[in-house]
This record gives sequence, C-alpha cells and structure tokens, in this order.
Amino acid sequence: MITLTGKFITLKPMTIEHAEFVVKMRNLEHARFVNRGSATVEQQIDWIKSRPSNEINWMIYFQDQVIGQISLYTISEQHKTAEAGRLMLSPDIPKGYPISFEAILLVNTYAFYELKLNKVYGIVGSMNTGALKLNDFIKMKREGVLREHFIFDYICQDCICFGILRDEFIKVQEPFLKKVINLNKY
Amino acid sequence: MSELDKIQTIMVDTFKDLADQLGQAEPFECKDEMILFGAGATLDSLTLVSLVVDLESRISDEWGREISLTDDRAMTRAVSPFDTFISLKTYINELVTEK
Repeated sequence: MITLTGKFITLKPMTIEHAEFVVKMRNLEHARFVNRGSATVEQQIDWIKSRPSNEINWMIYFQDQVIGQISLYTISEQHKTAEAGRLMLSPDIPKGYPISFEAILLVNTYAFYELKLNKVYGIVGSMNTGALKLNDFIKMKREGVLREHFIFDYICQDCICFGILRDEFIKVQEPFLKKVINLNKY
Repeated sequence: MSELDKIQTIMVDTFKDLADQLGQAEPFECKDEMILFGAGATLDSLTLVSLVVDLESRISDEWGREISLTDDRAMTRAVSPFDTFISLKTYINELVTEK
C-alpha cells in the first residue's frame, strides 16, 4: 500500500473505511459526470475489496481530513501504460490551495518514476467540460475522439482521449505543475 | 472603450458565468483586491482552471490571436497574475497590448 506525500496533501490508499465518504461524494450533484458506481456503502465496500492488482485508488487528505479521491488503473506492465482519473473532490475543499494539481503531480510522478510507465492516459466525456478544461490546463495531449462512446442523460456522447508520454511529463507537465503549485503563497 | 475596460468587461462576464456554473447564490464581487489564489482566496484549484481556460478563450477571440495565461512568463513573475483580480487584469492588459 503506497502513500504519496506532497507539500499540501497526502494520498493514502483507499480502504473500506473510506466507503461511506466515497458514496456520499459520488452522489453529490457536482459529481454527476462520474460513473454512478456504488449506490450504497455496502456496495462500495464490495467494490473496494474487489479491486484488481493493476489499479491503485487513493484518498486525498488535506491536514488529516479526507477531501477527495484519485486513481491510477488499468496499469499494464506489458505496454507500460495506465489510465489516470476518478478524480473527485469534496465541494467544500479549502480554497486557494493547489489540491487538484498536486494530486495529479503525485500520481503521475509515481506512474512515470516509480512504475516507470511510458504513458498515462484518460478518457473524458464531451459533456464533462470541467474535466476537459482540467486536462487541457495540465498539458495533457488530445489524442482523438471516441464517437458516441458514453450514454449520459439518455444521449450518446463523444469521449475525448487524452494522453501524456513519459518525455512530455518530464519536459512539460512536471515543471508546469510544480510552478503552478509554487504560485501558492501559503 | 479602452483595452482595460474591455478586459474588465470580459473578466466580470467570465466570473458571472463561473458563479452560474458553480450554482453560487452570490456572484463574485470582482473588486480589484479580490484574492484569486493563495491565502484568503476566492477560488479552489478546479475553479481556477475553469477561470483561466474560459478567459484564455474569450481573450483570444476578442483580440484574434492565441493568448496563454499560464506560460513560463506568467509563472515566473515576481507578482503572480493569479494573486488578485487586478494583478490578472494588469497581466492580460500587458499581453494584449504588446506588439
């Protein structure tokens, strides 16, 4: 079980103790674009217990308080790739802190330097404008469109594929995220 | 209308849309001293992303060229453009008025 520590936040492995928090967060209006997932705490406990060995789900802690989650999944040793996502933050996260940027930096640093992956990627529904903006902001490359890949609100939605290669992370994303995090004057 | 007035209008409109997207009952006040990011800030990190991306798009449309608010120049300034409303407005003015 891997804990990742940054300047402002700590990522701790998700356990069944977090099931209630996750269910509550996923059912809030602001998480409407995330796959519905477990409806009850019991289902969420089962989901956590059944996680395969090729994924890591972390809870985001700020000053000893859990405020969100983020994951690295479909980790492929063969292809040296993984999907990053499932980023969700509680609506009452503290303002002014670079929480989402640091969470992404910690996960991608782990993916590229510890797991020695070659690529991290993600798939975002075209209706999820917040996630699209975030991926553009953090210098993920748009790689293509999966046409009518999701059904959301009974309507087929395209999905945008984002990806970043190891070299791009080292040269572009990592320094950018560090600069954004260091803008913070706390 | 001066460039600064145009920027002010674009920023106020963008903050208004942001408040709508967030479902905020109260709009952002958009005073010069409003702290955007850091201690005492108005925005969390995901809201800052929305603000920056939306502003870049509107400013680029208005001035007919690609304008980035998060390039190296922005990140290495002594006063961050994202400190306050006025620092961001001043930075945008620099970008749109330079030759």
